[in-house]
Order: sequence, then C-alpha cells, then structure tokens
Amino acid sequence: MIRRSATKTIPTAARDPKAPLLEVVDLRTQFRTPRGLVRAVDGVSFTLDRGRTIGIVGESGSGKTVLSRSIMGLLQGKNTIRSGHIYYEGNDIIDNNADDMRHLWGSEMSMVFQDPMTSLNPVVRIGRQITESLQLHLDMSRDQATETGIALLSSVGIPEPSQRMREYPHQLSGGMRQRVTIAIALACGPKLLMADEPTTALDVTVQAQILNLLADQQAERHMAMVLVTHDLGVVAGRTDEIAVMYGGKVVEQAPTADLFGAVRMPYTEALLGSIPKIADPSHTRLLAIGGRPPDLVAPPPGCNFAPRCPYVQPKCLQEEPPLVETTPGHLHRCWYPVGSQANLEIRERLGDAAPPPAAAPDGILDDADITIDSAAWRETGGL
Amino acid sequence: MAGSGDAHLRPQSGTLLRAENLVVEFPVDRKGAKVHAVSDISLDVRPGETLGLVGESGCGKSTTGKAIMQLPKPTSGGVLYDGTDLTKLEGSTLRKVRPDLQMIFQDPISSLNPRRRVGDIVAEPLRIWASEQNPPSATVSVAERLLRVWSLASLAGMATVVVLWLVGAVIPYLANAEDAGITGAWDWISSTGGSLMFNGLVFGSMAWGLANVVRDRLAIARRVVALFAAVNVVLLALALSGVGSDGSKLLWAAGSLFTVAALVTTLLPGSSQDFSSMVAVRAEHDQTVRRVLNDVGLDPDTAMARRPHEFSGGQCQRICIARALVLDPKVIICDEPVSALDVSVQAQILNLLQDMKARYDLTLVFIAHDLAVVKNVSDRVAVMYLGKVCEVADPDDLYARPAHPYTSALLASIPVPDPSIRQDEMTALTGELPSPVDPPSGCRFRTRCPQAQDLCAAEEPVIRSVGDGHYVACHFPLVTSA
Repeated sequence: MIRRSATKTIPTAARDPKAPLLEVVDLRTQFRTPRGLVRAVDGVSFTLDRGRTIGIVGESGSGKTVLSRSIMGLLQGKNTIRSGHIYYEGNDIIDNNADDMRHLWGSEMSMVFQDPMTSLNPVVRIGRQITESLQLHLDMSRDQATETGIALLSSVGIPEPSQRMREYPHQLSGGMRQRVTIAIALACGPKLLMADEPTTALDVTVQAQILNLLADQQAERHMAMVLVTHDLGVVAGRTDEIAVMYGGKVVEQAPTADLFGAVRMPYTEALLGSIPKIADPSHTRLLAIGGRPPDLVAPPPGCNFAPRCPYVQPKCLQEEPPLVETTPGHLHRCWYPVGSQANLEIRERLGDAAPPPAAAPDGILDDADITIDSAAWRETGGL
Repeated sequence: MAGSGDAHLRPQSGTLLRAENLVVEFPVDRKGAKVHAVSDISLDVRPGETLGLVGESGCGKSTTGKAIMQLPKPTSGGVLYDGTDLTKLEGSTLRKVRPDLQMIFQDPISSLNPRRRVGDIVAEPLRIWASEQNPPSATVSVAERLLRVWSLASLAGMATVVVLWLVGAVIPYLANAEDAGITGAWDWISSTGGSLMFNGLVFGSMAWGLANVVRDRLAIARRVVALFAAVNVVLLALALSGVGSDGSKLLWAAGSLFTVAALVTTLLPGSSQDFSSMVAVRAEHDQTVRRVLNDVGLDPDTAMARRPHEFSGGQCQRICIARALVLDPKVIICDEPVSALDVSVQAQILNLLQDMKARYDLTLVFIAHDLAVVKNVSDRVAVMYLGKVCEVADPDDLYARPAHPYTSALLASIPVPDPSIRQDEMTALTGELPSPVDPPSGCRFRTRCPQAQDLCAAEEPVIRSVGDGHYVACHFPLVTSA
C-alpha cells in the first residue's frame, strides 16, 4: 500500500510555464527477449500543448500502446531499455523511477486503459478505488474524498452515484465500468490524460457516449489528451493532431484536417481504404492491406512498410526514408508520398500492368479465380 | 422495437433457413425469474443470401445464432432448415444435419485448440463425419476394443498399486503398525504388485498409444501387437513354471488372451481391406484439408504441421473459416468474426468471406455489432434490441432511411473517418440496455427512445412494412410507407 509521500508535486521552480506540457524527443523503448531486441518504439517525437489532443493510430504491434506506457513511466522492467527524452512541463522524466513517477501519476498525468474489467480491482468496491488517489494526492479526509468521489461519478454520467460507490466492478456494465475508470483517472485533476484504446472493448453506442464524455471532461478541465486507437474513425472528429505509427515509428504526423485532407503516406491511405464505410453501397470490395506488420526484432531493410506497399520501388527496399516535412506541420516517412509527382508516375505505370494499386489482393488469394458474382446467385435465389 | 410478428418473413418455399417465433430463456433463480435473451423473433434467409444480424451486446444476436445451431435448443419456436424443423431432431438425426450448418466464432485464437496441429484441427470435422457415415468394420472395432480394454485395465491396475504402495509405505510409520498386520498386506503387494506395475506401466501406455496408431498403419500395428502377444506368452510360461506369485500367473494369462486375440483380428483378411480403405479415406481427407487451407489463403505445406499459437489473429480466423468450410456446408453462422481483429486484417477476412461465399455457394448469417461491417457483407439486415427484432431491410435502404429510432441512433454513433464531422455534436444514444430479466413493457426500446409516447409503454408494436422489403416494429417509425 502506498503511503503519503513528503512531496506531492514536482517543485514549482522546476516547472517551465512556457514549455509545452509534453514534449517527447526521439523516444526509444526496446525489450530484451530471447529472440533478440524488440524495437517497440523506435525514435518517436511529438509535442502536445495544454488542452490539446493528439491521436496515436496504428495496427496492433505498431508500438502505440508501448509508447503511451513509456510516457507514463509504466515500463520499468529490467529488460526494458529506454532512451530519448520525455519533457513534462520542461522536466525530463525519462529516467524517473516508479517512486518519482508516483508524484506525477494521478495528479499530473493519468491513464485510461482498454479493458475496464481488468483495470479495475474486482475485489475492491468502486468507492475505495476512486477515493484512494484523492486521499493520497490531495490529502483529503475520508469523508471529503467520498463526497468528491460521488461528485466525480455523477460528473461522468453514472446514475445513483452514492449507491454505486458501494458496489463492485462486476455489478456494472462495460460502459459504466469504463466511466468509473475515467472518473478515477480524472479524480486528481490531471493536466494530461492518456487514453489507451478506451473504447475498443465497448459497443458502438457506448463508444460514442464514452468519447463524448472524454471530450466534455477535457474541455471542462482544459486537459491535454493522448488518444491511442486503431480506429481512424474514432480520432477523426476528436483530435487536433494525429500521429500514425507503423513498426514502432511515426510514419505520418499532421493536424487532423490536413491528414484526412491530403494523405501523404501510403500506409495511412491503405488503412483508410480498409475501413468499411457506411456511405458505400453494400458488397463494396474492401481494399485490404496484404501481409503482416513487420517483425520488430528484425525489421525489413529500407522502409518498414515496403513489403506491403502497393507503390513499392527498389529504393524503398534499400534505404529507409527519413521523416520529412513537406507542408508546415505535415510530416511523413516515404520516398514516394501519395500526391507527389513521383507517386503519380508509379500509379500511372501500375495502372497499365496491374489492378488499382491499393486494391492489390491479400497477397494470398487470386481474385481471378472467383468468377461467380453476387448477381448470379441473386438470380438463382429467385430474388 | 419490441416488435413481434412475422410480416417480414418471405414465402417459405424460397427460403433455406427460417427461424419462427424463436424464444430463448435462461433461468436465473429458483423463483422462476428468467433472462429473456431472445423473445419471439422470426428470421428467414434465402439460399445464397447473407443475413446481417446487428445490435448492441446483450441484444440476443449471438444467442439467436446459437439457437439456430441448436446449441442449446431454443425454449420454443421452430428452426426450419430446408423444410426440416431442427428443434424436433435429436441425437443422430440432428447430427446428420450438422455438416450443413457450420459456425465461425468471434475470438479465433480461443476457438482453436492450442495443443493440436492445424492439419488435425481442420481435418477433425471430416474424420468425425466419416466415422459417423461408415463406421469401421466389425473385426477392426473388435481389435481396437480388445486393446483398449486391456490398456485401461492395466492402467487401472497401476493406479491401484500406487495407492496400495503409498498406504503400505506410509501407514506403518504413522501407526507403528507391525502388530496390526499391515506389513503382511505389504508383502503381498510387493510380490504381485511388482509384476502388475511393470505390466501396467509398459503395456498400458504402449497399448493405449497403439490403439490410436492402429487406425492407419496396419503393418506397424501388426508388429507391435505381435510383440506384445509374444512377451505376454513368455511371461505366462515363466509364471507357470514357478517364477512369481499366483497373482502374476493370472495377470499374464489375461494379458496373453487379450493380445493374442487382438493379433488374430489384425491378421484376418477383412481387417486388411478395412485398413487399406481407412488409409485411402485418410489420404482423401488430407487432400480436402489442403485444398481448403489453400482456398482460405494459407500455404498447406507450412500450415498443417504448426499449432495455432504460431499464427496471427487474422491467420487463426482463416483457419477457423477453413474448419467451417471443410465439410462443404450450406449455411455458415458467423458470430462476430472480425470484432477481435485489426481494421486492416478485418478487411482481409471480410473479403475472404465474400470470396468463399461465392466459391462454396454459401448462405451466411453474419452477426456483428459494427453497422458498417454488416452493411458491407449483407443482402438483408435485421436490427435487434433486447431480444427483439426492430427493423428488417435491404442494407442500402436501411442505411439511407432508417425507420426505427434505434437504428437511427446506432447509425449516428458510428465513428466516421472524416474530421469535417464533429462527432461530439451528434446525438449519441443515452442510457443503458435495460435488464433482460425484467424487460420494459410494450416496446422494449421505449426507455431510451427519444420519441417514446404513452402508446409505446402500453402496447407492443408489431412488425409492419414501410416500403419495399423494409419492415419495422415501431408505433411511430421515422419513415412512413411510401
């Protein structure tokens, strides 16, 4: 059990009010495994100002969760190698151990995890789980903390909060549980909220509720948020900036409107193409990305995405593209970015020889084999 | 939405699968309270059609899928497959229909046995179905049964000896039991037990393994059975000539009887034939498994010998699809097949399902909570809420003009990858799903419905048509019939 520590916050003298709230510089997190070094996060940099939201998007295995946990200082194992800088209000916290981080957790930065059932303690009442950090960080008495806890639960939209305080997590639905974890994360008024796939385990309707709740709370508290997700739909309307990760690296980073308005990175384009869109007629063939994400122990030479990229060129397989900025604020990591003259030329060449590039099949199935189309069975079905 | 009724059902002659007034209830306590998981829903699917079932978790969509599969049987109502009511079938008659109806589950990794090889996992339905259709000949089953009985008896003997040995070794210590005569029992155990244990350990485990091997390698089986028989006979001869106790004479006599009988049955000409046809069937199965694995986009040469943990989630889902396809089914019920997958992999699997549907002439029931996914694959969509059907329509029509307030709320909550739409301004559905133990009166959606009125609490809406092939169960639909 954590006891109250002597200093509850970092000394104000060390804070730089002009510095951005969070600045991540060339962050690398690697794990030593029997197979070799896993480069889970490989040189990620970004800046997040107070009250802003950045979305981190990628497939599983892209390093997005490791990135968020590294920033929170949750990866302290002896087989974890961290390097780079994480400036929180101008202080580098990369080398902080768990004891140092404890002053920041809860009161300065907090986290909402993916699965609310496993992130809540099943044998401790909701009330105790909320009031713990209030008593610890804000020095509240038990009664004060209970009162604040009830207020928090009602602010995250939980009906009958005083009764819920006495219940256990299993008595709540998934959406309600996630509201509780948000209430816990918000309890001490953090300036930075890390939301790691906060809605992946939830239904669409509940997902919309939870995302709205996060947005409301963020606006109310002028809190910065890092929203980690695999769903580009989730981040589209709710972030100021988006970083797309692939194979541990940021491959494209831009203000949200720019990213969706002018995609530069073929990976982002492919990711967008693989989402079934509600506006498309049914039976629209999805543009799946063939193959699998790269092995982070032995990443391919050159560009990480090259083996799956529809526009791949010999250069991509040999030289790794740098992260470059073409328009202000829009970074991408590609030799032949979408929309560039070089890319258009490749498209033109592919257009003659192959099907539309992004529609390249899964790399396994030969589409030509499938000749029966839906019209044929519609007829036989007697529609 | 708490709609009952079957206005949306099409003439029975044109449908392949039809659920009529399906009810599934689960008891929750002894006072008779019940979870009303599925309450009087009717659905139909035409051959070659994909029916999408969509709704929040807890709406009964998975239970409906399982009730169609008779896993478990619905509380009441009928499931007509090709004119046969599955709920009336039992045991072997139901099993005969099962190859036509297959299922794909949500979590591909947990629905594959981690200890078995992919080739065996995919071949298992074939093997079960083959033995169901042509049971092995009498001679082979006699040989197999003899060996099994012998090995089981040996294993049981071994277990007894271990227990007796423990008792014999421990109790004298505890009770200083030399006077109690327990040591006498121990002497008896160590004389007969020694041979019993040897026999049980060696023969039991080997015979058990053999009983499994014997199915396809006749030459090896004959040699091993012959070896067993020989050793047993030698041991019997030794016992008879005075070595060992009376117990071991009895034991080796029994062993000889069993193993020699098994040897004779494997040498009978009938069993040779039977074995060779078994080998042929097995080779045929192997071919089928290879073809199906290839169809779902896996390389059979590398995949068959591996175990599920060596594959990614998307590949495991391909294996599950292969397993469902291997019996050449007519209908596949896909229960959230892509919910556990990444978007990029999800697209691969959805495309694959479409391809397999065309190649294998399948009819699909596609259960999912993601409306965009359901729209992409379906020819007809049924929206469910708390055990009831709210709306049934053609997907393009449903998404263009949702008639039920719940459908419209579901559509509004889909995240759209377009930043110009500020999603926080959209009307999200408020509140939570009511308890299915005590569902609301009248329309079940009324507690969360933005336009609920008194009528909705008093009377349950009945499904009615609001256009061509568009049906809704709502007193105040958003779209009125054209």
